Amino acid sequence: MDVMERLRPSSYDEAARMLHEASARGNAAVVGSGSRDAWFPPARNPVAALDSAALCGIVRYTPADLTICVRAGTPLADVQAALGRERQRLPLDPWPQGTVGGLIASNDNGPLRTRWGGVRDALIGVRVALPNGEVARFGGDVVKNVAGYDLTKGYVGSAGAFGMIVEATFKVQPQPARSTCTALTGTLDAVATAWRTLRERALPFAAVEVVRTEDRWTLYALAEGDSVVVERLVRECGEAARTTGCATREAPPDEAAEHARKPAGARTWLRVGIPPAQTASMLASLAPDQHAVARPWVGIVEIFGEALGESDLTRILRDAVEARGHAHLRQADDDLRRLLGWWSIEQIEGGRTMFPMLKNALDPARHCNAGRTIYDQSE
Amino acid sequence: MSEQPSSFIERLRTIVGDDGLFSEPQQLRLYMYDGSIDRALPIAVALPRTAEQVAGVVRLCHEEGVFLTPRGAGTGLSGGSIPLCGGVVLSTARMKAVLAVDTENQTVTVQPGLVNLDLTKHVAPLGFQYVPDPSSQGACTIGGNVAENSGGPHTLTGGVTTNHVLELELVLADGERVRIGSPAPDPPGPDFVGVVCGSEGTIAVVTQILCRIVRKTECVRTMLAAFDSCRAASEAVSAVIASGIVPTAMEMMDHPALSAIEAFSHAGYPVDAGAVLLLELEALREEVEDAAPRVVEICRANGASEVRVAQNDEEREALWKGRKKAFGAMGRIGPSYYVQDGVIPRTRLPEVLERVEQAARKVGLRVANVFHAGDGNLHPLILFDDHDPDQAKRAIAAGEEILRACVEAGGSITGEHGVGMEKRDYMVLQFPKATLAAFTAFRDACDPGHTLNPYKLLPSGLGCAEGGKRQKTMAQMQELAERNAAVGDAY
Ligand SMILES: Cc1cc2nc3c(=O)[nH]c(=O)nc-3n(C[C@@H](O)[C@@H](O)[C@H](O)COP(=O)(O)OP(=O)(O)OC[C@H]3O[C@@H](n4cnc5c(N)ncnc54)[C@H](O)[C@@H]3O)c2cc1C
Ligand SMILES: Cc1cc2nc3c(=O)[nH]c(=O)nc-3n(C[C@H](O)[C@H](O)[C@H](O)COP(=O)(O)OP(=O)(O)OC[C@H]3O[C@@H](n4cnc5c(N)ncnc54)[C@H](O)[C@@H]3O)c2cc1C
Repeated sequence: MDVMERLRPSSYDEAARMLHEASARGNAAVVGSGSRDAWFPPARNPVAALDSAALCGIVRYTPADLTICVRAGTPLADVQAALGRERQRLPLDPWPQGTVGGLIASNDNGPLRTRWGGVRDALIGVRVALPNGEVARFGGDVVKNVAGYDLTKGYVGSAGAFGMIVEATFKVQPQPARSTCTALTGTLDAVATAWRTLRERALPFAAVEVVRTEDRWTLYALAEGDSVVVERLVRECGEAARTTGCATREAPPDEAAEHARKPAGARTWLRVGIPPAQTASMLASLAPDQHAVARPWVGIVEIFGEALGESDLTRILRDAVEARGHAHLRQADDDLRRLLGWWSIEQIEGGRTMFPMLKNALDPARHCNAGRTIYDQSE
Repeated sequence: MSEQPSSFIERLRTIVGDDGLFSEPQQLRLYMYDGSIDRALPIAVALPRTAEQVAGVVRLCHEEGVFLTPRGAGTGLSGGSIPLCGGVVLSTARMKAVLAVDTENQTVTVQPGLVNLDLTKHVAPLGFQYVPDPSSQGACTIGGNVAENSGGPHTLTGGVTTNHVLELELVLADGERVRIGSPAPDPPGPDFVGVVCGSEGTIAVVTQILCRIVRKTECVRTMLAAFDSCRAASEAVSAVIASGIVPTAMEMMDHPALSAIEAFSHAGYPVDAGAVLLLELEALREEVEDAAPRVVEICRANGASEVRVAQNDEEREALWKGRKKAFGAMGRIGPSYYVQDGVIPRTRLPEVLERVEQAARKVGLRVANVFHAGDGNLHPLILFDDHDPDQAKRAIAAGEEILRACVEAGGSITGEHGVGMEKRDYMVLQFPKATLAAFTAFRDACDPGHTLNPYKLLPSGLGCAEGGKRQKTMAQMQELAERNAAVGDAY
């Protein structure tokens, strides 16, 4: 990748022109801040990389409409800061330095996925620079819109395969007035009973995370909202702790977030997605030196550590696939990578048929970020 | 077609069986319509029972180059299920089963012909609900909902159909069966399920759906606030949002709509009001009890002359009754109506509602508004006399003017009813050429022969040429109106 040219378009039209010219010469890569670069297979032999850094800033923001339109190179942190000034937020919480374009393209979701859904639920429109030199707009600025195909969704998780996202519009929400995180600590069984009980009671926790802390497990339940809501949710946590025999305490705001950041610092990191009811058995199958952060109401389990070997990973991958789930080996050394590849998924045939349909429509020459998604590995 | 129709029909019959095929004219006539203004006669209606049969029908049509139009309950409001160029209608009426309920994972697996309300009824005894609730929920199907990406009064916080579908089984245009999405969150790669939702039966027939269900909320409070004008009511909507409260529903009805609704369903609405807002809060008991008085106060501060809060389920149902029967009620004030579905940013409501009024006045017609104010999703009902061909023309002209106003305000020509055949020529108002070219290229890539639901969704100049020329005769308009009124009465 080091011989390639790095291009920084500063307008949408320029992005489309640069992408057009680059893809006429060969493969063109698209990059954001580069924070997740290592999570995907490298782009195949790019002659140029289009960098979104100069496509930065807020385009339109009317707080009363609860929507915001931003350029795709804007760091998520800047978007949140602008919203914060109006006491609003985008309920997405991956790495704040990452760009909005990278966030959409890698469809990464954090703890708030539990209550508010993921990128696909918040995103209502994109503008994209296409390899044919045109700028197209999908979706729009309004929260309900069924005019034409919802190709906006095709860009979620696209890893740049369908052109460069240059602008995005999101639904936003009022910032919660208060938030309190309660930690419940006990055996895995006790903690799992607690998260099931709380879920059955349909309690609107913003995030529910479970982590292994030494020989025990801790459940972090994030209560957000007006005081009356937070108080009620905290009370429910206390009740669940009592009936399950967990110890309970109020956790400092950053404690759960610190745990959520840990996988990214490990040598080996596997993200597993499974139907949520399988979370407890997946966690129970881990050896004590295999670290985990899980979102049990969603079905995301991040498994990481220094000691994760090929046989452990192979077993976890098999379990995930048997549970009709999927796994993404986000970080691994070269040996493991060679053995295990990047993804395991129960079935991908449907995607193998549909990916080329989107590709034919949006990047027929197949020069845009070639090789980065699960569906164009064999091309 | 390489064979005589009769032999084609015999081949269809071998796929779906004797009782799965209609080809008699009096049977076919029932499939000419949906809830919109166009109509066309199919050559046959296939009613498969299984996904294999669906695949068989689709493959046969693909091989023979016969057009195929999927159909749910035919409640669509944009002509989506009308077999515009003839061909076969594939009805999902015999695929109504709930295949699995998984309360632990909060999902239900259903066939596409299942009626929306039947899904909710099926899971209600277990304490669950399916969130998207179009006003047509007593008749429309989940397959139709997926194809239109339908919404309803409760989408403000709950989202629309796409937010409640996890996995789909499809039959593609060439008859290939595929599964996309996953029961597990965020499968790797692009969000194919999201792309298929709202594709209006033009890229695949949906044969199975894995839906998300949620536990019923602990507390619901419904209230009605009466205002002097739509402007005041619109300002109250923005003020509620600005206070940080996001109700699950904020529905508006203007004065003409109120009079019609009250005469029709005796819901007890204040008929003298210039506009009424129906607001619903759904949350934890404490939260509702905290927010409800604040909402009342905000409405009063914005000029509400009266605010009623339902004290029990009966009163709540009474408040909703009029709203749910609103379309059917229009017969009280006009022989017929033509409904639009434009969306605008919520803050532009007052000015765009004025433009709606002007558009109707310009052509000498009246308009009633019953709509999802919280989402900015307008439903202006342009009232006209279906015995007067000139009025029909004027109704359509006003409709176009309204859609222009929506696009100019930064909105969309359709929020939930779809483009179908009715709005395809308005797509150019909303999208640049590059977008329309991408839509067409996608359509071409999925279904090169455009045999699946032809002449829909794309501007007619870009879709397949000739043949599907739209006709808006008076007789059709009248039938539409009767049909709408009949469907409306049912809810
Ligand atoms: C040390 C570290 C810790 C992290 N911790 C967390 C964490 O705790 N939680 C979490 O959720 N995330 C975490 N992240 C992930 C993170 O940084 C992302 O959140 C970020 O949003 C990705 O944006 P990016 O600009 O860096 O994308 P990049 O890494 O530059 O790109 C990612 C993918 O998107 C494509 N892409 C980028 N921009 C565009 C565009 N404009 N159009 C089309 N395709 C595009 C690229 O081609 C690539 O395939 C972490 C990352 C690192 C390095
Ligand atoms: C009184 C009334 C009130 C309404 N209220 C609302 C509302 O509040 N919100 C809202 O969003 N809509 C509303 N609608 C519109 C309509 O009910 C919805 O669009 C509904 O989803 C259509 O479902 P259906 O089963 O009737 O589909 P149909 O009308 O039969 O078909 C609609 C489209 O879906 C396609 N289709 C149907 N089944 C399949 C399948 N299995 N696979 C692929 N494509 C398929 C058809 O080809 C067609 O393009 C209302 C309609 C009426 C008459």
